Amino acid sequence: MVTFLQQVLNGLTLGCIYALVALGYTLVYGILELINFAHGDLVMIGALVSLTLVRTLQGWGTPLPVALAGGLAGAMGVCVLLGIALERLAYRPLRHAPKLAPLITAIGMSMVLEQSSALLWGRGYHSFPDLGLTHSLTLGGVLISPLQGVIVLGSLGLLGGLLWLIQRSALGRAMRATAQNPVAAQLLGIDTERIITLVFVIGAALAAVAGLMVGAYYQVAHYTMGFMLGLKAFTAAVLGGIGNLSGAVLGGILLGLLEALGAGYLGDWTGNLFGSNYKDVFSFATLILVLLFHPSGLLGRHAPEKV
Amino acid sequence: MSLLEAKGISKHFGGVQALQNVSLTVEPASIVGLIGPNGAGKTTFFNVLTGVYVPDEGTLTFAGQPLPAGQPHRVARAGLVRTFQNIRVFPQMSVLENVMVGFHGRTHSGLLGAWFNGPAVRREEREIREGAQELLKWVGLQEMARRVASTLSYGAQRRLEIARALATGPRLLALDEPVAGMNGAERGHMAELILRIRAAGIALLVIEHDVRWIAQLCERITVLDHGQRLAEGTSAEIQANPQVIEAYLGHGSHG
Repeated sequence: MVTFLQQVLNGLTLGCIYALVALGYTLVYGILELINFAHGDLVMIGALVSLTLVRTLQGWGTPLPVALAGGLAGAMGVCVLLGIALERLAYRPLRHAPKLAPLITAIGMSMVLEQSSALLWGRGYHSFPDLGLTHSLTLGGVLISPLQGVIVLGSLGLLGGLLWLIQRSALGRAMRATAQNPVAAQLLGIDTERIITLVFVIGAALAAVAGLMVGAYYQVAHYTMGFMLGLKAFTAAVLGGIGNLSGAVLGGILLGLLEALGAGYLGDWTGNLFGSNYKDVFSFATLILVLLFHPSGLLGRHAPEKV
Repeated sequence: MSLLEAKGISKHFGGVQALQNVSLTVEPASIVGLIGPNGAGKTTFFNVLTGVYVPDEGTLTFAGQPLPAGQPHRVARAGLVRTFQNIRVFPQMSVLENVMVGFHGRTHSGLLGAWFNGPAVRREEREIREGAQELLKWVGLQEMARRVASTLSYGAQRRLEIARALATGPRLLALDEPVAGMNGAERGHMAELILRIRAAGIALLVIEHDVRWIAQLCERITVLDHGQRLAEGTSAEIQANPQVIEAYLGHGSHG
């Protein structure tokens, strides 16, 4: 029972991070029907920028909370600027091109970001500064670190804020209108290009937060970390139903739980034939099963026919 | 001064001349009809007018200002808004929300403002909601405000589109075949709604196939055929024009 609760907690932590990244995929897909493969690399850049800033600020004797805030703000700034640049330079010129063109461009941009980061930060692993938040408390036998608490509560707060923005605010209404019928939205006075830029800004800001979280959680950052993370977050978005915001949150948390439970129990279940290093196989196999029986994802509907 | 002045509009797609030297004026608070057989260029003209297409030649003046070509959202904000022949409500939003979207261009909601959610933002949101409810009452959809838009009947979706367009605060409302697929009683209701909109000081430009229906509404009618202006005149003049009867009524589309 304790093992189970422990894995659920670990999975929830991981799942919250996946959810933040998955929202970036699903927001862009909802409006442009584009899988922005460079999104995972924004998370990587968020991790590396925040790591560098926290280290530098700590080196100057800045207290940890201030250094963390500075690292987060810097990472958000860099990621948001990169997100806007991606949209303007890579995707906007292809707005009316066949759907495959921006998709291939997205893969290209992912490589550009990855290799640029390798040039800037080198190809080695960077250890994340110790935030002093990893000294665990024991709660009924389950180890909880303050960092896990910060990650889960912080993510849930951001997710709630975002869902509120989309579902309840005037701006969110304009975003949904743009997603459901861009031509009609424009002809009602909505500047859809501005809405698209905003979507990239929001996605990039969430990516920066996720980057700091994932770096602090695993205490390491590396220029290729965006690939697997992006792939998993994309998987989470598809699992929940791509284009559906609540689906991305649900898919992210489910994927995190699957992965943690797989890591915890695969050995027991298979008589040690497969160990915890097969956890990704386990979660991706689950994804394939879900999509076989429910191709539009858990909360996804088939896209309405466009006339 | 005319509200809308389109002069010498031409537009071609590849080798196809969709519009050739078409001119049309709309006076403030008047109703103008635009008729013509299928493929005459009516919808293309609407698309040029509302900034979806940039014309190859010609000028568009609206309330004394040139219309921003190729920028639909700025055309809408200038006070020229349209509905569609194939209905385009936002299918997964509520009826009320659809109309509230129409107010977007008149609000000042930024990303930070939306999250900050100060008293000014909340007041604006409340005003938008009340305005949208008022418009729904006006088109007779107040009972359906909470329904998801895609569940409405065809005729109700058309009225929703008109309420949504009115929410932008237009001076000219362009309707693309507003009574297509409607029965006699529904056509009567739509005519009554159009007259009420005009009485509120809003000019209308109406594309329609049914000449008798449109003739009872409009002060003036322009006839397009093969991308060119075939005739322009009062309803009576158009209905008596032998060229129009030959080119259009001669097809016997509505008896």
